[in-house]
Amino acid sequence: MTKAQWIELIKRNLDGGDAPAELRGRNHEREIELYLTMAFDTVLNRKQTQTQEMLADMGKDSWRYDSLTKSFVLDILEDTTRNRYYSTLPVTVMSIINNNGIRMITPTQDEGVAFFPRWQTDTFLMDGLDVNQMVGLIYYTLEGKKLYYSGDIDCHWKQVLAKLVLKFNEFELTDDIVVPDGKELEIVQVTLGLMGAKAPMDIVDDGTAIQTTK
Amino acid sequence: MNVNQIRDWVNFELNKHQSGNTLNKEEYNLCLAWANAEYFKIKYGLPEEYRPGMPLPRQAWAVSQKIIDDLRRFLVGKGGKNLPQLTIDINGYADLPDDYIHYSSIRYNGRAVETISNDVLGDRLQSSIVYPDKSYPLCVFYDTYLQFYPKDLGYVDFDYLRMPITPYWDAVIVDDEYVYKPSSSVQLEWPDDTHTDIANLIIKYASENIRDFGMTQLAKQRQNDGQ
Repeated sequence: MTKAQWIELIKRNLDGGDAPAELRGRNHEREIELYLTMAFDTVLNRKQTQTQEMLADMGKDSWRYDSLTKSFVLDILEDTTRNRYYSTLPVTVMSIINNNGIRMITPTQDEGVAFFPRWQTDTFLMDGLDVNQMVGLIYYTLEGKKLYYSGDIDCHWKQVLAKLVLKFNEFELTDDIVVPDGKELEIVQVTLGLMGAKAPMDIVDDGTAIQTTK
Repeated sequence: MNVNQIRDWVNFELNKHQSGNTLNKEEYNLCLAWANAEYFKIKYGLPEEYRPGMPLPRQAWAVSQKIIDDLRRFLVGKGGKNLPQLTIDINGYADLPDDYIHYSSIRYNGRAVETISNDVLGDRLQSSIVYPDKSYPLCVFYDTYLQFYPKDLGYVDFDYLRMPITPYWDAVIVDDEYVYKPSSSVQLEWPDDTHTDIANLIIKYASENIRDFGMTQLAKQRQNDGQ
C-alpha cells in the first residue's frame, strides 16, 4: 500500500466510508498520519518473543526494516566551530535500538566501504585510538538530525550515501510502504486503538487472549 | 401530476365536491406553497428528529438513493456542467448564492473542503496539526458569505440545495366554476412519485383548517406510513 492508501484506509474505517455527511466521522488525515507513525514505530520496534525474531534483533541488522529504507545523497559540510565534518539528515529517522534507523553510511559510489556507527558517549574513548589513524576508517555519530564524522573525511569524499529507515510521516504520499512480516493487521489495529476506535489488540503474540503489552 | 390534478385529489379526499366549498384559489395556493416548502424541509432533514449524539433524522440529504432522487432537481452544482465555479476573493470571501439553502459539498481541485463551525475556527487556525492549507482547506459559513482558509484558493466547486420553485395553481372563474389555466400555472418541480405525499400534506393543512380532525389524523398517519 502507498502511504496515501494507508491513511485513506484508516480514515474510511473511522469515518464510516461513504456514510451520509452528518454521520460520517471527521478524522483529519494529518492526525491519522501521526497516529500511523506511532503505530509503525510501536509495531516495528516491539520486542518479539519468537526465537527467529529474537535472533534477528540480536544481529546488528534487523531485516524487517529494509523495506522501509530509502537512500539519500548527503553533502558533507564543515562545522568550523568544532572542527568536524557533518551531514544533515533530510528526514526524521525511525528511532530503532542502536541507531539502526541509519542502516548504512557509505561513499556514494562504493557501498563496500561502510562507515561505522558510534554513540556520542564513545567519542572520547575512540578518538585517541591508533586504529582511527588508518586511512578510510570513518565513524559517524548521530546528533539530532546531524551526522558528525570522525577523521579527515573531506580528503576522500564530498558526499555520502545514506540509507535511512524513515518514520511513516516522512514518506511521500505516493511511496509504497511495504510492511514486513505480515504486520499490516497489527498496525491497523494499533492505529485504531490509539485513535480510540477500538480496544488495542493483544499486541504480544504469546498465544493468550490477555491484553498485554511488552 | 400537475397542480390541477393534485387539487382534484385534495377535493376528493376532503369530500369537498359533495359538501361544496372547495378550497378557493388563494387557499389552495397557500397550502400548495406551504406543502412544497415543508416537504423540502422533511426531505433534507428535520433537526427535531435528532437524538443525542446522533444528528441524523429519519430522512436526510444523501442518506439514501431515494432521497437523492427526490431532491436531485434542487441540487445546484457551481463548477459543474452548467454553472461557473464559486469565486473566492483575495480575502478568502465568497458570496453565498441567493438561492442557497443546504450545503452538500465543496471541493478545491477535486479535494473536499472541510466545513467547520465558527466556534472552533481559532483552534483550527492555530493548530500545529490540523491547520488549513491548500491540501486541507477549510471554510466557515456566515450570514451571506463563506470564509475560506487559506484565503488564496481562488475558485471552488460548490454543490448545494436550493429551494424548490413555489408552485402556483392559476384559474379563472367561468359560470361560478374555476377553470384551470395551465399556461400561467407553475408546476411542482418534484418527481412525480412524490406528488401524492405533497397532496397529503395539503390535505393535512386543509383538514386542520376546516377542523376535520379525523381527516387530519388520517393524513398524519399516511405521512408516517408513506402510503
